[in-house]
Amino acid sequence: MKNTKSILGFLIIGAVGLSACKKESLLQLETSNNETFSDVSSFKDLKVQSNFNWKLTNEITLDVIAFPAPVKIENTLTVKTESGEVVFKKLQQMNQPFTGKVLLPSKETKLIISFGSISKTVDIINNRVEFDYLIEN
Amino acid sequence: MKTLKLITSLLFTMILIQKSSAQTLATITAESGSRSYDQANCWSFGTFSPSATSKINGNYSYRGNSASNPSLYAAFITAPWCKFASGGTITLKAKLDASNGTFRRLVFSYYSYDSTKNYGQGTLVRFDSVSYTTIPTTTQNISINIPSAIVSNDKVYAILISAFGSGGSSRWILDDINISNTTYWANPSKNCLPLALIIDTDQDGVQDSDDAYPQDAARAYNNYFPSKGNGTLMFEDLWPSLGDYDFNDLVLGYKRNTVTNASNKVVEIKMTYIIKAIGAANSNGFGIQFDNLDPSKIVSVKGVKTKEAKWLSVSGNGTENNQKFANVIVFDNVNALMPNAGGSLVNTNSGAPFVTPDTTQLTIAFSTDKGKELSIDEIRINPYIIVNQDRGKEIHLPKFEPTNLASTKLFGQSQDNTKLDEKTYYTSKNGNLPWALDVPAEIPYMMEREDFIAGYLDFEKWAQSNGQSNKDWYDAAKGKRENKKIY
Repeated sequence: MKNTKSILGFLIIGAVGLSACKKESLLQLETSNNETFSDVSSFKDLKVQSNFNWKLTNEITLDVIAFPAPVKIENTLTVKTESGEVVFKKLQQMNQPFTGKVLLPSKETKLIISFGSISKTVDIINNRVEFDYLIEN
Repeated sequence: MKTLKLITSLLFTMILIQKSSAQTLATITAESGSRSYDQANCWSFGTFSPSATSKINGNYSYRGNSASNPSLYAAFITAPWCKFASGGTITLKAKLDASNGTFRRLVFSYYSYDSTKNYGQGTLVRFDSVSYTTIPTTTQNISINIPSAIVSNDKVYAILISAFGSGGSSRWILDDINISNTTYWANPSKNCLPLALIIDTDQDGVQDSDDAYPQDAARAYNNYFPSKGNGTLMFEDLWPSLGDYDFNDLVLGYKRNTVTNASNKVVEIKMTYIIKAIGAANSNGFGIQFDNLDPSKIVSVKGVKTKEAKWLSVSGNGTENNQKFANVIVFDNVNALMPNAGGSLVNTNSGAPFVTPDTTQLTIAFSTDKGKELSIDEIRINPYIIVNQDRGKEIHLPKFEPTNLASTKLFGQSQDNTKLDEKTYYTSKNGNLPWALDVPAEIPYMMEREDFIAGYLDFEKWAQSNGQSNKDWYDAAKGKRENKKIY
């Protein structure tokens, strides 16, 4: 009877141990996939990569593709966030290209760019956005 | 007399867009393979689109839908608004893609401009047509004279080419459409309406409705950062040792407005810094460096709150002396501007008396002389604190370089991992941790000695994902907060 109790106890401890191991390996797997993160209780315990820059902004490169309009068309180019806040304005000639930088919160994924009545929503891809005057319809 | 003056003044402020460089209307060939190119030039199309299978020449021609509906608008191409000189013609190549149908017809009309109508298209006048009862599947070269009623009268008109018919299913194919002796008079950036006078009081090229400074030719646009509300700068001041990471040793709200002219050059930057909290015993100063900017490019600095710091030496244009890049010391002693009202700290303990935040408003003017002009993306602002009146002891945002008045002796001491030759600045040896944070939104800061990650619960996910997840951890609507720990 005593032996049976010992074996049962050993099995239970073993099962708990295996379960703990499994949980740990699962946590490691998730961490390596950057899906979940180790839970820390203080700022000093944060584990960040050595190249992490702690920035909450990105400098986006804006490329405006020139269009050979028959006359020199000049108007204000306006760059807005998706929620409509103006982040940049300039006077733009339709037949001239433009490349410039725009500082944005890094949470932004799209921009609304307009040139007078021409307006487009463009995706930010690899910190770049491109605008042309062609409207598909 | 007063009215006359007003009219005269108004006439002087109106500038006709590019009358001097106006050009004739280009031939459209569909060769781009997309009608969007011609649409951007203010041509419009009803069912016609480029076709590579049914074509007259080149790689593409414009092809309409089945032309069996006898309507002017069943399939059409409308030219941009133009002015017409005498002797002009409309030429085009046309054929059908099959020989079936009772008849096929091309009708030529013009719209007068009427600002009260959709697209400005007023009265439509039909002036010529070409009809076929034997449906042509070989190319027809068509030439139509522009009617005398619309030439040389300084008004604008738009030519409508309607392609239709009855019976069968054959479709019109058109190519090489040219309207000669015209002057292009449409504005693609204004819904393709005719070019018009704009009101530009200061004559800088930016129309008044877009100009933030319509009576000042030197200024045109405001560019705010953050674009909504204020940003928040938070510092720990025990560098090169680690602090308690409540990030409230100095908390500043900020906003800047980069004012540019019509040439997209920076005229001035108006900056606002609001001291919100001082969770430190040190008497810290605060400054900004314009990275890579020669101090001579700044004309003047107005609004700084510097008292009599012994370490501060300022040149005639308001920038700090002996600096390689332009530096502006915004205030030299935060405690002098916002003394505590009991206790040793300011606005970090809920039990202590609240001190009204102190606001500093700066105006930094830049040279607009040729060769010294700056584009907006040449401005990189590098904020930092000067710790406890020790000019050499600067604390910057991570990865932001020190000024050349920073003492290099402190780099690498204690927990600091700054390595100038590797361009590694202001992060810790263990863990790559910062001593300052810049949030592009106005956020409340931590109570005294409360760890930052205990208040902003999604922050650690953002940090430990290398900034890839939870990018909106600071957003009140999206990020989780523990408000009891936040001031």
